Amino acid sequence: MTVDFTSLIVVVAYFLGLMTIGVWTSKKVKTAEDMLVAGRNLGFWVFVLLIVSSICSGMTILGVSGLGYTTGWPSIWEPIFVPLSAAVCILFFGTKLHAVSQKTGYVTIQDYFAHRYYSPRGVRGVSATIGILVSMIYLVGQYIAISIVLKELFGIPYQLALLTGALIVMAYTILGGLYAIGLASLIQGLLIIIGVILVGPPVIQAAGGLTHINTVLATIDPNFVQLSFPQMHPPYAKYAFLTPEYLVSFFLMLTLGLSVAPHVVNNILAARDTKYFKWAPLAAFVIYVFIMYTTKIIGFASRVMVTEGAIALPTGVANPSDYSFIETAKFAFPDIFAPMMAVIVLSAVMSTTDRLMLTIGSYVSWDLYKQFLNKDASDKSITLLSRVAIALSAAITLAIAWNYTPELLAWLTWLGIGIMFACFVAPLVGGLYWRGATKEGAILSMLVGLLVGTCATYYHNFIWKLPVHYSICGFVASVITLVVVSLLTKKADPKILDETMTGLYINPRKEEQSIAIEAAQTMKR
Amino acid sequence: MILGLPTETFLGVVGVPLLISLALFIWAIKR
Repeated sequence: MTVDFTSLIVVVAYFLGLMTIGVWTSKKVKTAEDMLVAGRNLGFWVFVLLIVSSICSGMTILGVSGLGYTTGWPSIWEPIFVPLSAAVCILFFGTKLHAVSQKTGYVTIQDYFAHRYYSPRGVRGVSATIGILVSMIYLVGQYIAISIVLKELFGIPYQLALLTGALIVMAYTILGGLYAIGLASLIQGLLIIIGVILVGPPVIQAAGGLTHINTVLATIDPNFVQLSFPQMHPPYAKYAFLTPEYLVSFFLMLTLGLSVAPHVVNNILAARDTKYFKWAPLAAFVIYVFIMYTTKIIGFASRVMVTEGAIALPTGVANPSDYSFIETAKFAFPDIFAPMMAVIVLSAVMSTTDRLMLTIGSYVSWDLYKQFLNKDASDKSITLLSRVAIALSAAITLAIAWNYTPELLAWLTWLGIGIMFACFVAPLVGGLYWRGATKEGAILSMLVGLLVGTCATYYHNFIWKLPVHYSICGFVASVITLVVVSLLTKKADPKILDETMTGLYINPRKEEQSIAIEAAQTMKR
Repeated sequence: MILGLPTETFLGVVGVPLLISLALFIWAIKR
């Protein structure tokens, strides 16, 4: 395959655009708060698209279409559960966290944990370390999509594609921090939306229309047009694993796991105004459902076109279905497709990769260095260290991904979501909504979640396949640990619970807000 | 059958996102 000139120009223009954003926003970065939370100054649409594009990764596009190709309509739950995670994050965590953070000035979610669990180091250290670990795992998983796209569309060798993609993201993230990421997300989000609008209809047309697609799917396997596969274990075929039982664990993992992901939930702290939290859940959900439904149906169309011999997926790779999005679009737009496809998928990848790198940078500098190594670290040194940590995170993950084939890395994305789900849901939901949750309960629930989650991953992959998604084991263990240990240990000081607006309500009412303000003021004195 | 899908599949595929959107809409105007 040759790299044609126009394609190259489009992709290079996209890269240059990102670098321009980096240089331009770097002038706004004067303090660590500018770097890490964009000076808490992101407007409504930048905030909504930042949340959506942080979750929407390259594997969201390629993998969603790929799972649709493999399993048919039972996988339609995936483009419902994932967008729901954006709404859950903004509504159930964001509303309260943002209201509290306006008084307290949290920079990372660990600041909240340290405050709520009256543990400046213990909870912070455990949470930040696990957060860095899962972000690294997730980051390596992101690189696959970059390489699939650049290799498949332009014939660029895997390692060169990897290096180009990672360096560009690293550069604008180091330059402009969350300011650059926010502005880039606005553009990347719009490119993804415009991209699926352009690609979706012609692809469905090329496959013979929706009715034809569904008729052909039903002839391959009648369950392909149902909402789930029949409940049985082991399933009657390798692809028929989306049983009702499995879908429940899939729902919990995707909706809760992604909503507490470090690279997603920290965005809450950067919104300018608490009023955004009214309409942002709906806006994020609708935009994201539109993107993912279209992507999913492209996967169905791809299956039909392969069945009818119109296109063929690559052979000799472990994950041919992940190529379905690209191969189908290639067929629908023979000439002009390449740069457009590349920009869509690269936008999805880079908008997640940049946020992951910054998350690692902020956890290393703000949570670990400042709290454990140098209490009196200057603002400048924190900003500098966060930039060094971003570069290091890119270098380490590149080195890990360097010698692997992309398909070996695909399951890393699932491992990352699984660990977030097992470690962070219990302490965050417990912290915000249950006055009984204690410091000891929070620390142990994260550690037990990590341990059981990792063991279950190993067990499922190497010993015996579980009938549900394996990450549910870590989640259940973590919830039980939080509840039992909290009941056995000393309760939190009610004053702290009032300051952090802890209790079974979403919207802090007037009296709760005034208690929190008063408490915060006495704390300052 | 609607668009080649069994009726209940079609209702699930269209109805669930609509119901969630409606709930989020009500949340937005009630706040």
